[in-house]
Amino acid sequence: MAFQLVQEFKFEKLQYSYDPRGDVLDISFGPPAPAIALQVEDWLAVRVRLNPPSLQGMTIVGFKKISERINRYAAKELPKRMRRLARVKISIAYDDQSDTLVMRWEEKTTFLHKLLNKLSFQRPGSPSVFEPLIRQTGSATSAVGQTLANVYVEKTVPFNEIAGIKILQYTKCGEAAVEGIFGAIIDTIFEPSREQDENVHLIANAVVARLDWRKLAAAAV
Amino acid sequence: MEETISDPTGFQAVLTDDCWRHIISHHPEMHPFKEFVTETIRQPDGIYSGKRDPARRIYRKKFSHVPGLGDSLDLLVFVGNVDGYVATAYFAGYSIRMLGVLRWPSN
Repeated sequence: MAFQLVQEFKFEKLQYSYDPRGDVLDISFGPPAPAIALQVEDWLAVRVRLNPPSLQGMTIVGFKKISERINRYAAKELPKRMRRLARVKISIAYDDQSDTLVMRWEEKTTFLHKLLNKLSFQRPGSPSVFEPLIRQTGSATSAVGQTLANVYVEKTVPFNEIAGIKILQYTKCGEAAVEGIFGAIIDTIFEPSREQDENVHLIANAVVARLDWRKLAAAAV
Repeated sequence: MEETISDPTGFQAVLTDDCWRHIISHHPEMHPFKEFVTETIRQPDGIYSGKRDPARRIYRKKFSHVPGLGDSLDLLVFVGNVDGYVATAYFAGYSIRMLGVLRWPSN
């Protein structure tokens, strides 16, 4: 298999702005530029730049209400996460022989992390395992289950952290799988009482954990 | 300066200069399309209330061609239900999930 890098996203140039009257938060990965929205849900849009194709940013309509629902203890629990998001790099690679897409995210390590890794004898390129995103139980026969049947998560060993996502049969199932992943994350965040798989929880936690809701909320004053 | 726009239900939305400046500063592709925004409120294809925030009115209108951006794009305009303030507006190429609850036209 020869995976070729398709796209790489860095969030170092992250900018954000909050309009308190409209309760709209605009996050831009670089200076604002013309883009078209991929509407994930009615409150969340991912903005995609056309030339060249790349991730431009996100718009959250009703930010204050939404952030309070995601984590009402955000101010206490989640400091410095915007800075953490700025350290994330997402790379997407595709192998046309196996028709497989792999998305991985990495975080630039701080001096403290490097020190801790050394102390715990963790080495760069530490092992990981792939697991199905959802358990192959009764839910696999549902529409959502079928959509996500080709989605696997990459988890680090032994820390069990999400390192990436792999989508098999990408040309056939990729679009539906990406939709399914977004949907599963949102359902996990907003409808925690519903039965959800551990791996979906881990991905949702990874997404929420990388946003500094306190700093965003501070911008919303 | 502000512009008041009536939608088909009689609700009045308010598009202020400040709001428009805010929209085009973050969504620069909207710069030539202020008229599209007012048209979308005045004659939408659908008006929805937000799924997570029912106090939000969402106006949707499909444009078959948007110069410089592409074909078959939905213009979405988000308006506060209480004050009528136009919060933001942008073109969406694709929606993964439904836009809340359809309020107009009613079945």
